[in-house]
Amino acid sequence: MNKIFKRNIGSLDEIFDFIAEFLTAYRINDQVSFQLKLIVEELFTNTIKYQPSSKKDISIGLEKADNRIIIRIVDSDVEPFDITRTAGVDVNKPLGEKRAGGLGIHLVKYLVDNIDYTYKDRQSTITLTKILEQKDV
Amino acid sequence: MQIKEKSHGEIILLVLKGDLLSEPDQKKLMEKVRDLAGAGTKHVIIDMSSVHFINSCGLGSLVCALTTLRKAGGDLRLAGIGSTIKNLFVITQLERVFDFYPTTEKAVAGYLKIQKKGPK
Repeated sequence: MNKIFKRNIGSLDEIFDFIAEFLTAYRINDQVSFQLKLIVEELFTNTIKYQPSSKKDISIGLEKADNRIIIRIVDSDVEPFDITRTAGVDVNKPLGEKRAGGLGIHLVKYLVDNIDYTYKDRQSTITLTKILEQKDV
Repeated sequence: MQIKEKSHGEIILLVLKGDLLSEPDQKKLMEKVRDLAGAGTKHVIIDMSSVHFINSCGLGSLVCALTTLRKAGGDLRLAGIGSTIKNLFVITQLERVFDFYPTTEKAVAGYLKIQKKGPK
């Protein structure tokens, strides 16, 4: 399944509906539903926040292949932002030194099993793979 | 997200309803917590039982709330968090900085115990 979304926070409800439609079609459970929503929401929100100059819509693809879910986010007319190369947030820092930045990427990296990033002709493509356990379907 | 405020004597209960994920949600929560800290409130409980989705922004706002209250000599407890959301606190190691209670009643009871004993 693939769908194009307007580049604004208001698209989130539509994105969540799209994810719900995908999960229902493949009978995937609530735990994965939460994680999938979180992964897509964090990356979508990130790109809106940090790539404000682009006016292009964002494409989100969801695919189930065997025991894997493949999420593909294609963002056009943007600067490169390679999520695989971002330094992880230090979650062990004391409370007073903790900051929100980087927490979303940390969560995404934890929740998926593989991340690929490509950048060509000002287009970023993030492909994330999440392996499902037997209990998830 | 909606915030309802209730009080149990000197303990303030903030009941959150809806998703905790946007910057406006974060601002709303922080304004409320800053007001409470400014008014000298020491014991705050956030009831999360009606929050079903939270993202990194939401987690960050809870960290800010805790930091604000602790700096003002107060404290924050989280009550009623479901296992899926609790897992995010584990992944981010934030479960080590918050005190969790299964219900608001238990969180209130914990504060009342401290008040009975008096300050350390």
